[in-house]
Amino acid sequence: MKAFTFLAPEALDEAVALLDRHGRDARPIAGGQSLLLAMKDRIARPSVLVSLAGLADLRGWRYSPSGELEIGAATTYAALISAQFGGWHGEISAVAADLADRPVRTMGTIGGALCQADPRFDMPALAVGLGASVDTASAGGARTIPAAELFAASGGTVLGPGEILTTVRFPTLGAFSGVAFEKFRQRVFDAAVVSAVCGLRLDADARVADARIVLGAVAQAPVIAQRTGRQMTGRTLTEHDIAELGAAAMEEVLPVSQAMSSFHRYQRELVGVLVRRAITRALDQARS
Amino acid sequence: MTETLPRTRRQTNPPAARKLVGQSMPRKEDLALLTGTARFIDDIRLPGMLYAKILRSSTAHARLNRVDTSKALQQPGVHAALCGQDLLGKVKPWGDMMQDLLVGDHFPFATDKIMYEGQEIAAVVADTKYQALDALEVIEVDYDQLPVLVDPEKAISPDAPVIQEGISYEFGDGNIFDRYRVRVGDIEETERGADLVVRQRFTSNRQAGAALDPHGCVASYDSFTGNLTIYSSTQSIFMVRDILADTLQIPRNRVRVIVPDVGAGFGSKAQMFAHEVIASVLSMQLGRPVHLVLGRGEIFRAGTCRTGQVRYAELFLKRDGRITGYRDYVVHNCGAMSLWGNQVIHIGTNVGMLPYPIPNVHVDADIVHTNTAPAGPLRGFGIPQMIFAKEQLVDVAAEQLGIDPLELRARNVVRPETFPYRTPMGQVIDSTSIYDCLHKCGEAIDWERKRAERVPYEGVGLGVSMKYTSCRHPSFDTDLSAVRLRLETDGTVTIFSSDVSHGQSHATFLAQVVGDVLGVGFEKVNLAQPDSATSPFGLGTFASRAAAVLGTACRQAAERLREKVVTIAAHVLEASPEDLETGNDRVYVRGLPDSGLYLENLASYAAYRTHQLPPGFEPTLESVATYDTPTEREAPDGSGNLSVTYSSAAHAAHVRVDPDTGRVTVVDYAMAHDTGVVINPLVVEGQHQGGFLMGIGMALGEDYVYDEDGHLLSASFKDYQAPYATELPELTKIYEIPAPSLTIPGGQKGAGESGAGPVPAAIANAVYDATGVRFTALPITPERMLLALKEKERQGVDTLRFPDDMPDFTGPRTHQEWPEPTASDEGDILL
Amino acid sequence: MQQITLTINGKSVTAEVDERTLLLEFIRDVAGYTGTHNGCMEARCGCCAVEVDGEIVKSCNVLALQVAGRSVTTVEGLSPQRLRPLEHITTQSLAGVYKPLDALGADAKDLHPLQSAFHRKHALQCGFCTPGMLMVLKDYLEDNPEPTREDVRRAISGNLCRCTGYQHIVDAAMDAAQQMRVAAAGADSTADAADA
Repeated sequence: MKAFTFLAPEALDEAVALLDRHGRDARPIAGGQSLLLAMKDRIARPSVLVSLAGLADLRGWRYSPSGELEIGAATTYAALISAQFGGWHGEISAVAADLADRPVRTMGTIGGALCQADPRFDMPALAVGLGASVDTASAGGARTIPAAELFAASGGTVLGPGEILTTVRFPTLGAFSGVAFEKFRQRVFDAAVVSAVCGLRLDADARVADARIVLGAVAQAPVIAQRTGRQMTGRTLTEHDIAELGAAAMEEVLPVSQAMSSFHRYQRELVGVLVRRAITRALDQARS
Repeated sequence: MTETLPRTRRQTNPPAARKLVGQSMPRKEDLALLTGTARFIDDIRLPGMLYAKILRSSTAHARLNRVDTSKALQQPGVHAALCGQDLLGKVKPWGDMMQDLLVGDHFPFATDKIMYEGQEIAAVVADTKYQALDALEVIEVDYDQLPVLVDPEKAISPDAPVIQEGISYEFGDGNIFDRYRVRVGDIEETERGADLVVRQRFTSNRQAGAALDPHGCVASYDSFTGNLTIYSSTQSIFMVRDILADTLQIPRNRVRVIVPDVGAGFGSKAQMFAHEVIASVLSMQLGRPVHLVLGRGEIFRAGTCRTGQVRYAELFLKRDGRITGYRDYVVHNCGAMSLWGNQVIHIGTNVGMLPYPIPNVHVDADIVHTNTAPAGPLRGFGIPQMIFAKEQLVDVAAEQLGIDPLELRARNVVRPETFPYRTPMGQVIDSTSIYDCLHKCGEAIDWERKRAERVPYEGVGLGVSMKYTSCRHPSFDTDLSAVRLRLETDGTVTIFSSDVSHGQSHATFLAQVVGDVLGVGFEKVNLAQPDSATSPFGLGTFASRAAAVLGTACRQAAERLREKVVTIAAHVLEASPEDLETGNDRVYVRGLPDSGLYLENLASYAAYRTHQLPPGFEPTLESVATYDTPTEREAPDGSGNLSVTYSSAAHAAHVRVDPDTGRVTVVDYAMAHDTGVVINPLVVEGQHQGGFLMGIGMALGEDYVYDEDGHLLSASFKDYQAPYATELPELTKIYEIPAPSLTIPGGQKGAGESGAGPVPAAIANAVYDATGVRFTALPITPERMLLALKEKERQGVDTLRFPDDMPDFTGPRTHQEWPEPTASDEGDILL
Repeated sequence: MQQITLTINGKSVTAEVDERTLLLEFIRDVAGYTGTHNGCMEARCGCCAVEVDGEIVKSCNVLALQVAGRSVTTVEGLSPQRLRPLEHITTQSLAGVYKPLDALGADAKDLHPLQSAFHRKHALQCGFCTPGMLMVLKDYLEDNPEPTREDVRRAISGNLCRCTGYQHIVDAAMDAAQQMRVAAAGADSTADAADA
């Protein structure tokens, strides 16, 4: 770890000002579960750390008047688990409960995971898959970014230096009738080799009104399988259809021409499997 | 040929003395470990202690032009810095003694050449760890990259880059630094007479010990007395002392090695390492204690790991299933420098032939350097690698002969009419229950039913092995442990031994042995921490030697001490020594256990009331015993009885394969063992379960993955697939079928490693049963499993050897194409 | 350098430390509780697990500054060192009649149920991972008093042990869970009695 100065502001504007003053050498720290690993390896070398722990606004969750679920960026996984969200929002708690282990979940935060933008992490794929957006604050002002645009294709986020992620917004309960997150990892404690998210809404005739399929860990940023999602629309899906959709997602996300190494060939197979599993589970949820 | 083997009669103890041995005594070690008062290496604090850190190479092969530490010396808090050029001609290279090489291949730092990623380049010592780490960043290193050699099979090619340039090995200047050969029986004749030959190329992975307690030491030198005290997390204090003293060229009685609690080793701490020399030199330079504990990445890259092997193995059989011969050509990968890795092939191959008394064995091995991490011993010492190949060939043969795999094994496992029995390879089997173990594990896994009632993607597999119980070291000629006992003046007993307990429960089981022999209460026996200044000379704790070899030394020392107290008691009680017994903390006249003299009283006669002693009795209540096993050196043909006795293991695995993801799950597992007389059943059960953990790790995930530039991609617990609790099955089907050793006086056999030997083979055989995919490489990761299933589907075949049957597989497929041993000149005499 | 105060095992510890000081380093090097172990520094092995205000964390991956002012429990806090003199082990004690904890100068009353279960079930060999295992399981079992064996395995899915194969650890955790349930029931009934 390189030497640094540790600053602990107590309000958001104070944090924004501190980050602005110290420029590129400063990094916000929430739980620090990824950042500290990188700092210990001297890969990340900030000279100033601005702790977000003192900012009460960044913790906890509430429903906006329009019914959006607003989660403070510094809310820990442990808090997400105990929140026991209703409806499909419950999948957020379930995903939080099934990543890393209890000690990591005590410290790790949803915003931290999004800012880390590790493609193997669950939260980026989940946020993109469920059509979330994030609010940020910086000296230049506040903005809201769709999660799908938060992650740069080459890795990392589009956030500017000194820009703090403050809130993660998930759409209203009405946005989906069923959602499912599926992943494969070798050990329970590992990050995903591939993850897949399916969010779908059924119309009154149990046909898919619209659907989103997103894959994690197959590229530097979560990948939206738009073609596969569109293929689902307007249909009453059978088991056979779902198998075809899995195959379609494989072709869309990791075509044979790109799956040259054995690891990518393996990921390609997992894409098919996990997309099938995610669609199946999301449909079950929607139909029940 | 007939031979009369010495028949050692097992000593039978009087029934009264049986009460501690055989009981699952909760351990004496536990309280300190459970409450946080135990002290491991990183917990040692000495006055004035400084912290050292090592700069390691980030490249695997390079010409090292210059290392400049001058800027580091300017950094705050820094006291000294060292690099290779500073030590040239001042410390002696090492590795010769342990590995039977003409000169040592180890040096504290790279001097003119970098040979693997993680090799030591320089070190800095400062007031704090952070200052030392900060200073490492300003050390300037100038090097020119050289071509990197990762594939061990390429190492033997004449145009391969040469790694150890400065050393002229016995076999020329290339990367073959040693070789090994077995010539037992007549393999050509066997081949002509065989009804079936099965053959396959197998590659086995490299596995880290990954003991959670890091490698490290604290060195403290007193420049006035010339005494160097080193606390080290090691398995062998005298190996560290002797090699360290030799390297530094100082007298061995001036080097004192002390071990704190050691948080496991598994073979990875059974050597002296560069960091121990570096900390010592820095302490000698500065006259202050120097703390040097390695980080996890350093341990992965520059600690030691299991040797990797490529085997071209052939098994010869008769139609009735009799195994008549085994032939193999092995490329044995020891990395850039070896930590007795070349010995692994000797013992692994010799003992690895068991439990089959194969009459004709022909093995050639080229032992090579590559630009990868140093390799050496790890739990199983070559046995799991060997068994993985051989036990899969047995299954291949069983299928081709139409014989059930369990039945084929039952026809072949060593099952002599009389013991001791000498196998063609030279092992003297003094007892074994392997035949019964085989059937027991089959029964426990429900072998016949599961073979008959097929469940898709589920299967069962067997693996059998026998394991050495310590071994006569192939380059040294010794296999000893020693114990000194002292009856303290209050009747308690202290055990002194240099064999480091790092999970093996020495304090507990030695107290059980002493308690039985001496009649002293278990709670009154204490084990002193190993300290080279006070402990008797012994080799250390590895090779499953503690219970049998150290335990025997302890038993003999206790018997000698018993003789002394009985002599005193006989004199005081005016009784005949033959009429006296020990027990209840006292010596008493037979039949009167509540009378007699307390050990406390007897001890005080020898210390404070010497007139009470028998005339001429030397007033000492210490006893020493050294037990050197009656084992043989390896003969030039590779045969020999290297181990004093052999424990047995028969394992049966039941696996389920997820055809979607390739995940292999061990759903049930049965282990039947012969560990001879078990001193502490709960401890031995724990050893078997731990052995299984190493085995399943090797089978399903753990691996040193290198890219083609020699960067280790699995140098952290994030990427290194060490199994957690969620990756292991319930291990309740554990059975002991004891066949007490006839050679070891107490009947014990080695426990530590027999749980590991058969695991990769049993799992691989079960995976074949479940999927039709015969894995020829380890580990069987989900990725490899799924790709194999897809390949099998693509080819439309029922069975597939993977990865050796892949379309892009470029290795030889038949024995005609197999490489000639490159280093088997007939005139060579193997030492 | 920055001044930090932490309460560790009930005692307040104040020191001026390098900002980089990890909670692990504060516990070990500043407060001197070396029972919390450094096994990997990657938050992967779990040897460094401690509780902060009753929540479990991996102390190698938390800055001391992040938890300044808070209360930390380490393995040493599970069974405080006994301050009374060790009981004398008399030479009259019967050989072979070994009551393990008594003979070692401690009894189950001094130990957390997990510690005594680990001892009885031989759930530790080298003992290096043990403090982390104990802390993680303590935290887990207090929240989940009736786990299945599978639950226990998942609870320690971020704690490595290289010695035991985990079997005896799971055995001990199940055993301790039972003990803790009994103790909790006892405490409840005592509280009920007090209320009445």
